[in-house]
Amino acid sequence: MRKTKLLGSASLLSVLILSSVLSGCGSNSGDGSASSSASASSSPSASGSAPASASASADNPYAEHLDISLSWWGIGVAFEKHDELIQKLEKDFNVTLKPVDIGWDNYKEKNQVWAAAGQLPDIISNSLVNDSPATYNDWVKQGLIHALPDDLSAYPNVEKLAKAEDVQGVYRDGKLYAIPRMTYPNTDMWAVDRAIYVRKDWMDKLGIKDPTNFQEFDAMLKAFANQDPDGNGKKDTTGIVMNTLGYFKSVFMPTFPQFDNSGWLKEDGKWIPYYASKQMDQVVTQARQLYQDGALDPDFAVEKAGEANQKFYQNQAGALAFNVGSISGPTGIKAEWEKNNPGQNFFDHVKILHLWPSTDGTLYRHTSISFWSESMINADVDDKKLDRILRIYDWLLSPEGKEMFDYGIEGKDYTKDASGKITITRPKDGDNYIDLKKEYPSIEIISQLAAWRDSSHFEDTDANRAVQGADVLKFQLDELNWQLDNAKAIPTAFDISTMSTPAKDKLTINADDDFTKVILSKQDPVAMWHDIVKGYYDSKGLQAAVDEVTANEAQQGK
Amino acid sequence: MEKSWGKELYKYRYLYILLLPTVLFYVLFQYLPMYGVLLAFKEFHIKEGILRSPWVGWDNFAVLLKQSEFWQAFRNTVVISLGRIVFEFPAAIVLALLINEVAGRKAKRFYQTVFTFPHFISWVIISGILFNFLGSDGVLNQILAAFGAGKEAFLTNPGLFKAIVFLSNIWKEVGWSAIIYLAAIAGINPELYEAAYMDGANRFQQLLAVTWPSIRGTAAILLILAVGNAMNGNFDQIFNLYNPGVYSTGDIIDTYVYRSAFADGSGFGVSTAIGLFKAALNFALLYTANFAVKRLGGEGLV
Repeated sequence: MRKTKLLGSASLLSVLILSSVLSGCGSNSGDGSASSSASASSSPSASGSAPASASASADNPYAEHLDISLSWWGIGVAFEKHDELIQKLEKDFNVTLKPVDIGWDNYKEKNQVWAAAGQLPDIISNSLVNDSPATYNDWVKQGLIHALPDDLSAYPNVEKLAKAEDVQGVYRDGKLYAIPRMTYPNTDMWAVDRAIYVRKDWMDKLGIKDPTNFQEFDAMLKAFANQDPDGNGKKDTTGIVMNTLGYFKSVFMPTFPQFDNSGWLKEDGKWIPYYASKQMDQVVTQARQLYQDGALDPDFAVEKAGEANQKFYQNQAGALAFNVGSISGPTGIKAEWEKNNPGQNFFDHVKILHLWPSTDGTLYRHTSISFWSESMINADVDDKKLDRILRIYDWLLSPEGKEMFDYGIEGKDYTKDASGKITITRPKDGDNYIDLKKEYPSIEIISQLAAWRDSSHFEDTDANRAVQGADVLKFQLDELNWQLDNAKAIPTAFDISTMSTPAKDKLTINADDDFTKVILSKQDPVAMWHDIVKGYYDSKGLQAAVDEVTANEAQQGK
Repeated sequence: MEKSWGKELYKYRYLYILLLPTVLFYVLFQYLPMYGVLLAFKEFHIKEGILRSPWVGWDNFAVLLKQSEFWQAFRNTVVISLGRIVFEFPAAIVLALLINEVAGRKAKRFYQTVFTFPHFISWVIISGILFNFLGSDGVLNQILAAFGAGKEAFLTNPGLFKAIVFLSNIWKEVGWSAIIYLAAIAGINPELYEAAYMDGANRFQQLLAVTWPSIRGTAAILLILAVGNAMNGNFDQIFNLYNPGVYSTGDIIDTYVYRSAFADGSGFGVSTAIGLFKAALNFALLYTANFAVKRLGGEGLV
């Protein structure tokens, strides 16, 4: 009797331990043989929330309630409060949105891991087409992502996007596997995606004029670091800080235009990526000089994205490499700077520094392919869900969608009369209307899901004036117009950035890391860079890629 | 023969039942996932899975051996691991011996808690603390500046990176690692100390004649394990502390694999090949250390 009891309790104990072990691996879905209980709980709880209209007719495309998971940078926090905007979207399209979080520092890794584990969300936010076309081709080849239907006429706004000129490079074998996220409607407006903010009060104090070449620029930043521009008697300032390295690279636009936008160029009859160009010699020399002179923030390599901006806001740096649009908003450059300098007007102290012309006399401005990053649809999504997703995207890209993103919810935040005139009715906080982001934390994400809408930021409208403030809007528009009037876009081979050739697809080079390494080192920068390109990049297949791209371009007479 | 085996099994059935979960755990999480090493000889196609991806022979290893960055990472891993065994391994023993000499139960507890605490802070946070300490406007630079010295870039200086790695890991882990030695010390028969005292041994002589011989066996086993772990190099720590400026001395195999597999996307095949290479080395090292300890008269693991 006692023995059976002992046997019973021993086996009970082991079963308990076992089941807890097994349920740990159960969430890995797929071959649900291991645990039935765990896989049951991971299946979507669609039955839980009843469809909005149970008596819908068969041809109502929204009849069936669907769960759609989507990934986005920081979506977890923004969707935490199930705000009215999300509710409206979910009700209109009869879906439940399941947020899947990714971070700016790790989204590529996360996407790769999910791809390998078969756990990609329904709507995937990633940046493959521009940043790693090899992985994009891989995903297409391996059937991880859904091709959009050939006939997109049911979704006119998506169709318009699919027919845009520089989107044609995204097609593979005649099919589109990604919805590119347009930053600006054209490649010109990218000019405002780079800006060097500079403390004009410091320049005045130290008697410095706008630099007309690199040496003067270096001297100015050096003076910021060494000549106590804030007059506090301490040596606690630095020259230039950066939001991320990409923005800082624009400083070298006059030296080597394609370095700024990581483009390909033709040199000695061959098409080469910027890092293999002879012009890199001067770039690495100048970058090293900035670092050695203390003109460049000594901590730039260890700071995380956005961390160094604080130095500019707190009067510890004389210049900040970022973009024009980031000036506005409650966490924008102006607001943050004024928070740290109470009672002072940002515009009295800061301006955007215009770079000098390059050696050929041309003044260049930043440009890029008109989209950055893309939405991709998981290959496991069925036709019904694909249709629903495309309907949502069509609405996101429509004028109605835009109206909501600009003004909020009709009847609550604004009213519209018969002639279409819009009156904003939401409450004010001081001079400005309350930021929609406060009311709807999800608005930024939902409005950017299909397109970045960066250009809407630069529209001369009442809504923009109300939200950003008239002076901020004017500042940005003035900068945009100045760039368009005075500077010329960097000559860029847009077709190569999305081009796919066997060797180019295999070429994965992180030149930014090596650039950083060269800046920080004490060895000769030019010799170091040559070693990296000749020794390391060549061993990764650089030359084969150059040959293939050159051959490809030659076929098109370029 | 077979019958007696069955008898044996029946006799100790309760013990075997209790052993079962552990065995299954190892089968499920340690042995079954090992089929993943097949990837080292395959070109991974995500949709087809590991088993159905095509074979490529030794291609992945060939790619690996051609990369100069791999050899740099390999060298760094060996050097950092050696340094860990030389600097970090004895630190815990020394601390345990010192804490043991502290008079008074309360004081002993206090010191042990204080030294153990950093173990529970994650490397992400420690990297932030270190940045505040060693950054260009950090505490250390401010002290240096007060003495009129120039600013030093500690965190991006490849020559200093290893020292930072060792020191920060000792700070974080030494208290935690000392626990096992303290437990061994607590198990020493007090009569041994009394006998030594009667023989006129002072505290230092007691330490050498009683305490150290009693924990030497524990130390030997932990040393074997540490050597067997040598090629791992503590990814978490390095990843949070390093930057492109110190790749030349700080990039270890694990961080290199991480960058090439995920950030650069150069393929899971090559990364698995590196992993397999590393595991084979670890295995060889473990056996060598075990053999060496046995030859020196200690008790080995196998």
